[in-house]
Amino acid sequence: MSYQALYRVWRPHTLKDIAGQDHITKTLKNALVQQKLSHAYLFTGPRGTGKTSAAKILAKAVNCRHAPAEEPCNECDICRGISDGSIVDVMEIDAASNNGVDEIRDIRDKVRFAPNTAAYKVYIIDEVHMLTTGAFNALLKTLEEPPPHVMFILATTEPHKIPLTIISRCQRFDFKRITSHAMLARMQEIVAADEIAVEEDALSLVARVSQGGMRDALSLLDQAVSFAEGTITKEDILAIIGSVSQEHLYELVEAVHSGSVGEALKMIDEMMQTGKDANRLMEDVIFLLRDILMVKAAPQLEESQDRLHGDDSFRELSEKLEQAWLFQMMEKLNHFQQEMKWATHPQLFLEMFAVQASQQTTALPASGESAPQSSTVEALEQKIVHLERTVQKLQREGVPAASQPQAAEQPVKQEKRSRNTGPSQKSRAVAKQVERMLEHATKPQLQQVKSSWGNVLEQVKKQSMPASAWLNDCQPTAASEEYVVLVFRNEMHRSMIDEKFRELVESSASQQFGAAVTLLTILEADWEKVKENFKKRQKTSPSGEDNEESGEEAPPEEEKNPLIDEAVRLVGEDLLEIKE
Amino acid sequence: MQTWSELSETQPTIARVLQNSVRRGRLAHAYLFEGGRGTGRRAAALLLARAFLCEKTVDAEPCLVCRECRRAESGNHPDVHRIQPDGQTIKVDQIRALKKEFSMRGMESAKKVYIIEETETMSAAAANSLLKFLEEPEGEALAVLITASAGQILPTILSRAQVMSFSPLPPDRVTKALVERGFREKEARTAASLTSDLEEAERMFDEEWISQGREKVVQLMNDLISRPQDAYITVHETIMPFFTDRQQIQTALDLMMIWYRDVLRMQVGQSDAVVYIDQEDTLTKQAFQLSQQKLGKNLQAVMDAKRRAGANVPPQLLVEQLLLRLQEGS
Repeated sequence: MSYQALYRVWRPHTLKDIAGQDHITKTLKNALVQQKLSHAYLFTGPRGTGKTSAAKILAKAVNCRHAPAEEPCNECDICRGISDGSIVDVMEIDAASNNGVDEIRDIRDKVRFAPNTAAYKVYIIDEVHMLTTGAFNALLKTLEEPPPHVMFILATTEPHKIPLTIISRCQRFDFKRITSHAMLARMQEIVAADEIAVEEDALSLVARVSQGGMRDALSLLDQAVSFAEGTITKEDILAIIGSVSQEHLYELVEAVHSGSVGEALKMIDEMMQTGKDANRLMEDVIFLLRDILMVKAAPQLEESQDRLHGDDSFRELSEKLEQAWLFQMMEKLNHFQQEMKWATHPQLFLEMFAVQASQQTTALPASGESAPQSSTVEALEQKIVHLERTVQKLQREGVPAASQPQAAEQPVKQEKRSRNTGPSQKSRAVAKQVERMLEHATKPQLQQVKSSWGNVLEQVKKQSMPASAWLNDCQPTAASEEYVVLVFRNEMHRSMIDEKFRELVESSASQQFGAAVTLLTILEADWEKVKENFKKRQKTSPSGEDNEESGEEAPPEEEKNPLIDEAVRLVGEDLLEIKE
Repeated sequence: MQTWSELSETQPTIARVLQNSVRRGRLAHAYLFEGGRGTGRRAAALLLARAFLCEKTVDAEPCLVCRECRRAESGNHPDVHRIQPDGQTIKVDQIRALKKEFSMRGMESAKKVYIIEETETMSAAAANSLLKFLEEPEGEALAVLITASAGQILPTILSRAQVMSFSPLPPDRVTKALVERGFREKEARTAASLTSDLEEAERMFDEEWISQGREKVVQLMNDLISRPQDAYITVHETIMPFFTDRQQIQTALDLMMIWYRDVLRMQVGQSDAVVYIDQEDTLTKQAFQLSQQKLGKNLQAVMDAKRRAGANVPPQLLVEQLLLRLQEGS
């Protein structure tokens, strides 16, 4: 005899072995003892919950030599005969392959004959949902009033496909998904009997992922026994189902929640590279969020206590996430999970989830609890941002103007001059500002600006189409906490944005980045120069000269620049050779 | 793929589970191999069948020289049955025939193997009639069901079989292999992101198909942003004549999907993960112009189009509708 899978070996043979279906086993036991059996039963429920097993046990129990008793003895000749299929009075019919009217007619004809050896003729019709309409209807009369020695047991996973006329003629038993608690108990029994070494954690994980199907759980356990060397650990199970550890999940959820798409994408990439299953990951995230929701909603529940106990990072995470966010995420995840099942690139859905979910974080405050007021709130927010900016401007430019009239005059003059002398000069004036600002510019800031620049564009577009058209040509190239440098290729575009649409763009940007932002607009050519200068200074400053000195170094170049620029304008860059 | 150690290079977990099962004599009666094209499901199924049938296994490795092994490989073994879709689906009669075959004793030994390919195409009747048989086969039987995605299989079948998920090969690996065979990297990368099957990827290079298709999609994506009105003409003049059949339309959609993914990668500063490596400028430009929300929407639109492409929608309409959605609100 070849090896038999655990779930076949451990198919329950008595009613008490059926895990987690007490409401059914109790009823059946009482019916058996009191001899109040119906002539037709319908067992329904999801896969792996014990329908077929219960049917087989019931067939044995009614025919057992020791009947009436709660359980079949599994020892008498009849019980054994039924088990090995040598007694023809118990017939197990696969309705999926014998689904025609003819097969049912055959049953109907033979029903009348008395049983051979056993007391009852029992017909177990499995997968009964596959019968054709004709077959169902042919069965109706027989099912309602069979001869006294006949019993029908119908079993199916899809009760909605069964005609109501059939259902109403049967005693219906709904098998529930087995709770992880009941599953755990049954598995422990099996593990102990089979002498399989397995960690407690691993078992509860198995119970969790098999979602109430005992057969799934035992299949997985079977694989784990083959996979593991020695004791089965949690890691073994994780490896087999292609799942990631809880810690990684926490990190992923946190990244998504904090809105860092880049990080989340990187994590997903890494997980996929190591051969994790995208579907499984999606499911894990859903379950994690569900757990957090549960802990938040009902912290006193036993299950939530269990979950919180001894898992600090879980507690931390659950405190960080808001309920509204969780609900939205669950909805999204469910949607994606549905789509994912049919897709050939499941990873992409994960990535899309990461992108969309991260967006949610930034959009949440506006669409949070006071949805009807959101537009007014938004308007107020904008106003505040606007005010903030003016205050900052005043602080920066207005206050020194009082103390140092010279310095205040200069920008005014510059501005005047720039208006008179033409556009490129203005850009250069900004260039100076840009240079100063570069000292504070940081890479992460720029990254943040770059990644949400699209949002700014969209917002601008909402308010003014022409503004967004002018903006199309530019690129953010540097950013500090209060400044964003925009590089334009075309002077016309630059000046339009600088003069006409500055307010609009700045307010959208400020809103997007959550802090007041001032725009510095500059032409591409000037930007290149500024960059060069800055790089030069960067190189020279570590070699002894400190910042102030390098600050002094800038002005002479500033002097020089207009001349060269003028020359460039006159004869073109190609013909010029600059000598110091 | 001839040995377990070869399988374990790409699918370590699965190789270990299967090899240990054979070694310890705890082979289950039904397996379901799930995974994308080129992940080695079919080869693994054959390997398992040989290890099951071979009489002289050494440490669970089939000997590869005995009669059983050789005949299993050439497809002549009388006790190895293969079921493939008859037309579009696997019909219930095929399963009935299989069951009848299995109700008889094996030709030579008691062992019998059946391999069902493209299991997801089984008709509902076929799948249901397999259930009982799958759970409790008569005699020593080994079933291997092969499918592209387990989500499309009845849960009642899944729970009866041991599910082995074949993970896709990392694209880098395929890229490297392709570059080693003398293909240009930019195209190799694209091909690798489309399929993890090396041979299929190589076939894409026939007559420069992939590089042409790639150029065309890049042009379309470019037009969409810079010359939105012309995009429809591009579709009509370059895309549709080139991507003619349904399969190719799917590929075109895949290429678009990868494009948007790249834009996204660009936006979050992961330029090394980009597939269209020669298009960095355009990608950066688009990264500034599209918000992440819009990108998410675009990706969704391409996905939807992909699903429709599988459902007999005329390709021309499909692509045009997709373009409209991509330009929506922009």
